[in-house]
Amino acid sequence: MKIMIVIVSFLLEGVVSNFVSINGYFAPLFTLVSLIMICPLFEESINYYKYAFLTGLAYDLIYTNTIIFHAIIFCFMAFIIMRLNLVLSDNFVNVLIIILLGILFYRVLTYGLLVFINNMHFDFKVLGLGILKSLIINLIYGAVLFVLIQKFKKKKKYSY
Amino acid sequence: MYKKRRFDKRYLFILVVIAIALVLVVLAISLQKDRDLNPIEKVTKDIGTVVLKVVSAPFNFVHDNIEAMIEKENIYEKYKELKNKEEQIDSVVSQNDNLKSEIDKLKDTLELNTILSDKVYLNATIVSRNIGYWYDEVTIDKGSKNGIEKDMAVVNPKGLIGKVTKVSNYSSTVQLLSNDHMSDKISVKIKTADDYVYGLISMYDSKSNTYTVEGISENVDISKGADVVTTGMGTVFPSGLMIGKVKDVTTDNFDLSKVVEVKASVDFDDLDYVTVLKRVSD
Repeated sequence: MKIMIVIVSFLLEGVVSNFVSINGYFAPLFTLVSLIMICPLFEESINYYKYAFLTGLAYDLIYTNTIIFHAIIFCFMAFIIMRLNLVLSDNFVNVLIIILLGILFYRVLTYGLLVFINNMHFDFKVLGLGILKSLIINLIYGAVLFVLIQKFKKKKKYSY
Repeated sequence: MYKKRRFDKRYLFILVVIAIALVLVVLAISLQKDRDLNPIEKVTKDIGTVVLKVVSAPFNFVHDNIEAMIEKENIYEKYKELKNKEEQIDSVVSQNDNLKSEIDKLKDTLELNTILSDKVYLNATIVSRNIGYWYDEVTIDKGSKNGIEKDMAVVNPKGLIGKVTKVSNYSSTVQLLSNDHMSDKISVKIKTADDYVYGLISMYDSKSNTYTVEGISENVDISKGADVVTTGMGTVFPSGLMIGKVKDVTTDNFDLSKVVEVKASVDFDDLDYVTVLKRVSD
């Protein structure tokens, strides 16, 4: 189930990117959202890190041509997501809060690094817009995934 | 016990520092403009592109059908508009043929093999757009096996959109002009009443979809709505590629030169099919 959620989200991110404006208010980050959603399904953290690393590596190789940049970033995000899951319980509102914070961390981290290595000029407005534009569609996708996972768990009596 | 805890913290700190340094080094290397994809990257990118094309096919089918349905509305008005344009086409075609033969004769006379506007066309479809958000890149479904090479100019029917930055066997990455690094210092010319004036694009503003062109002499008259095209100077872009139209003309802070705001002819939010241009050189 976990691997299916990640693969479908990964491909869906590529497909959806073709139907939304490049600089519009629906920037998909479905792969990151799927990593957030599957976090409670892992019993051992090392397996979650492996998933995050491999997903990030695929993201680098297929989408962004950035070698292992996203592999490392996704591992760092996995660490943050696990910490957030320890603090916030697994209910609908909290999951949305974790997605929101995850997107915030991810955008700040990637933008900060790109600015740091002089690949972009720092502009607080650009960063703010980047975060804002990623929220709507990803929160909706997270909500849909949450409902689907809950239904699947009920059906299969999947235990956390 | 106390000593062991201190050692663990130091160990963790060193690990974090090494990890951050590693990320920065990797990022700096991976974002180098002139970096070529390694064989593993090329194979993975090609497989990913094929899978994405297959997965996207049903979505594209539905999308194209919806667009076709929308297009069918007001079809009679569109037909009348096209009919009017068709009447002008014959004269434009004959004029174009005439100019082509004149250019060929001049090339023969001057013993020129190529001119700045010579180019070869390759059509491609966009497979994924600007994933990662910050990079302003799109992936197209044609690669080196189809004749694509690094640094080729990429256009759509409305004008120049960017250039090929990474090439694998069956897919390529196109960096858009909306990227800060791409739009910087592209040589362009602006049509005036009887001649062209030359300038350089200095930046792109995504909010207004406009470029800023600088380096134009103060004593030149530029009218709003004038065409802005590439000059062909430099090694990447052939001449005559549409960039946009003049939106506003101002002077710089010292009143020494003109600053021209150019409305981009391309809508970067709406890119589906593109044409890659290979510049023909000696």
